[in-house]
This record gives sequence, C-alpha cells and structure tokens, in this order.
Amino acid sequence: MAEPVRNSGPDEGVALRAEDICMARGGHIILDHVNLTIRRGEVVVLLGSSGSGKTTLLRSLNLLNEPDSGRVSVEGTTIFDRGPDGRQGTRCTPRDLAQVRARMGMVFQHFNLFPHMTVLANIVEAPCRVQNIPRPQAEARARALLAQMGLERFSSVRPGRLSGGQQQRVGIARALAMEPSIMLLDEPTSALDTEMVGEVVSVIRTLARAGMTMVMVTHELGLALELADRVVILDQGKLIADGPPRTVLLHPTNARVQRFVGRFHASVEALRPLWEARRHDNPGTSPTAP
Amino acid sequence: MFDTSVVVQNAPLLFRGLLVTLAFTVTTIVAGLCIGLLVGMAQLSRTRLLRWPARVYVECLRNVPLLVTLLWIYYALPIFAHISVTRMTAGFVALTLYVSSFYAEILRGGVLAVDRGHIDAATALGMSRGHIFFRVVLPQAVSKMLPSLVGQSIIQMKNTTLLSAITVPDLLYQGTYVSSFTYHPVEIYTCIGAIFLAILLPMTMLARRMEQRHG
Repeated sequence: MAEPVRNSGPDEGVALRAEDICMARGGHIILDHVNLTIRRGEVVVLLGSSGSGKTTLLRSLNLLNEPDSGRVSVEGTTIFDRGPDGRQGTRCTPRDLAQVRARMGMVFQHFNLFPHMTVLANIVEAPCRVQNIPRPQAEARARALLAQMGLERFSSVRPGRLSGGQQQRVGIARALAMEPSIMLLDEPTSALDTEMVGEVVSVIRTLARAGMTMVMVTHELGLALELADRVVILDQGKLIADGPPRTVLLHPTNARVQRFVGRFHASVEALRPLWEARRHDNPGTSPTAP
Repeated sequence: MFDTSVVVQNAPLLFRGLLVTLAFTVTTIVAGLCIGLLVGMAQLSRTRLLRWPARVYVECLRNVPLLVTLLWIYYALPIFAHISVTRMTAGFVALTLYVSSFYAEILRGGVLAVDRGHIDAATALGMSRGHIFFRVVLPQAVSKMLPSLVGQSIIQMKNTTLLSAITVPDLLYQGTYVSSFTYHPVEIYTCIGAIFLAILLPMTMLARRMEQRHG
C-alpha cells in the first residue's frame, strides 16, 4: 500500500490546511479560492449567511464534498490535491482517506444516527469496523462516553426514541469514540429546540476547553464568541474575514463584513459585554480580509 | 345449483395443481430475489457499463406483458436461439425474469430512500463503501422494501396462473381441465379463487402491517 504523502516543516502545529479551494455546481460558484489554516487546539467558527458556502467548506475538509480544485491537508497528510486544470497532484488511496477521516470526528446538524442500531451500536460500529478494536473494549469506551454525556441509561435504546439534544450528544459521543484529533461540527444546535441547545453547547464547551481542535459552522453568535479563537466569515463562497471574534465582529474592516455583521447588530451589541470580558483573557490579532 | 361435490371428487387433481402453483411461486421468488439483488445493485453502480444494461433489462421486462414474455420464451426461443425449452423451464424462466425486474426496482428504490445523511455519517467515520452498504444502507433499505417485496410476491403467485397458457399443470390449468369434463366451471373456479384468497389474504394483511410499521 502506498504511503500517503506527508509534509513537514511549514505544517508543524497545523491541524488542517485548505488551500485555494474552488467548487462550482451547475454554473454556480460555491467556494471561490478559499484558504484556511487551522492550528492544533484552535477553535474556528465559520459564519456566513445561508448559501455562503460554509457547510460546503466544512465538508470539503474531510472530502464529504470533493472540491473541483485546491489542496486539503490534514495533520501533514495531503488528502486532496488537484490543480485548476483538473490535473491530479497527490493521490490518496481510499484506505488512507478513510484513516484520515477516522481521525476527524464529524457532528451533523440532523445528527445522522443510524436508526436501525441502538445508541451503543451506533457508537461502537466504527471503532470495531474501522479501527478493529475488540468489541468489549469498544463497548467499554462507548459506555464511558455515554456516561460523560449523561446518557448511560439509553445505551440499548434506538436513537428515534431520544430527544434532539440527546441524539446530538450521542452523535458527539459517536465521533469521540474514534478518538479524533479534530472535530468538525456542522450547525450542531440548529435543529434543536431552545431548551435542548444548552445541553449540547455544554458538551461542545467541555471539548473546546479540553483543547480539541474544532471547526464549527454555527449561527449561534454567543457560542462563537465564547469558544472561538478565530471567526471566519464566508460570503458567496469567498472568505471575507478571518480573525479573532472580537476584532472581526466588532471592528469589521470591509463593507461586506459590515453588512453581514449589521444583520446581527442587536445580537452583537447584546454580546458586547461578553466580548469585552473575554478580551483580557484572550487578546486577538488583527483580522485579515482578502 | 351450486354442487360442491364436484370439487371434493376432483380434490386430488386440484391439490396437485396447487402444489405446482406453490412450487413455481416459491422457486421463482427465490431466484427472482437473487437476480433482482444483482440487477438492483448494478443499477446503483457508478459504472455505466453495469448501470445501463441493468436499466435495459429492467425496462424491457417490466414493460412487456408477462404472457408475451412467457409465450416468447416457449415458442420463439427455439426458433431464434435454437434453444429448446420444456414448458416447465419456460414457465420458470419467464416468471423469474419478470419478477426479478420488479425486485431490482424495489431494491433500487429502497436503497435510494435511505437518508443520504447516514451515508455521510458512515463515510465521515472512515467506514469503507462495502461496510456502508451492508451495515448502514442495506438493513435500512430492507425494512423500507419489505412491504413492496411482499406485495410483489403476492402478485407473483397470481401471475403463475398464466402458466396454464403453455399447459403447465398449475392450479388454474387443473381447474380448467376438471371443468371441461364435469361441466361445473362455477364451482371449480370459485374453489380456485377461494384457495388463492386463503393463501394471499394473510400475506396481504402482513404487507399492510409492515407498511404501517415502516411508514
């Protein structure tokens, strides 16, 4: 089996790197030369209005959506490399890609739990099948994760019988069972009722504080402020801002960012005290805007 | 006058016919499921070389009346392909091919009905395509397909009555034979209808219950 191409040097400390990512479907540009680098332990929140390409960008990072061109590297391993002319650079075998994906936990907006399996089976399926972990060991790990999530009594229940918040926590547990080094979260609280958001947010908060590298698409500005080391704003497939949340959202540097932030003016103002409080804990750098 | 004694007197003949009907039903369903699974998977393949022939197979068989297929295999195959087939073989082949095209479509529909998000989730977890198909897609697809599969199998049993057109001694053929010398077709065909009803009604109810359970 061919070894996947590993880079060194400039990628030290980089968890994820997406370079010059382009994607178009049916003549419509979805991602337009997007560059994004995520360092280990960093929490990056992708913001943007509907159709801006943030979910597509997130899904491009583990190739659930394959870009037309660009380059994606995960912890120094290039998993996708294609020039604008369509010429393939580095090739990654399906097996290598699966191994890389297994190191990237993904949480979905609509949970996507396997409805025909119990909660426990949902969690142990991939560790047993992909990582070849013996079932008793995988089950012990799954039960420990369920206990952490406060869901241990639901291990033998089908996901359909759980509330949205509980299902999402199972989704997070399923991703964590693979012991990922990076978590991709696609609007993890968007499909939840207001009262269920809190239970999922608290799990995400715990993960972020434990130093997990996270890339999250969300519309929850409060969550972005509280957890994000960086906020990235996309507009019509273009990356228009990338920097600490306080700087990007309170001091937008160009008209497009101002327009986007303007839509959330009330929320931003309501959250200003939180930002100001956080400013002293985590002084940010200047935002970048292409 | 409705004379039930005609049925009783000729019960052994009718029973023999019923056994032939049941044998054809079961064997063609099993063979049809095997072929249907392969053709259905070929229809879902990314390779055009597999997808297109599978599509042609399904459309040709679904859109030609079963009786025509049956007669064509029995009468035309020896002429065009110089393959001589017995009436039993022709009946088995025609019924199998016909039902397999419907099973293939049911399988395709069942697989396509599985939420794409579940496949994404399995892919994101690093599962291989084989694992995803057999562990995530197929179990869900089967539960979605079951009511349609049972429904198609019910139709298959009724379709076996066409075998009498090529003189396969099934239940209908035996019934027609008995009526030809007893001159009591009403009693005989009523009895045949009752036999089909007794076998297929519970199956229909089972299919309906499955439909309710699996939405």
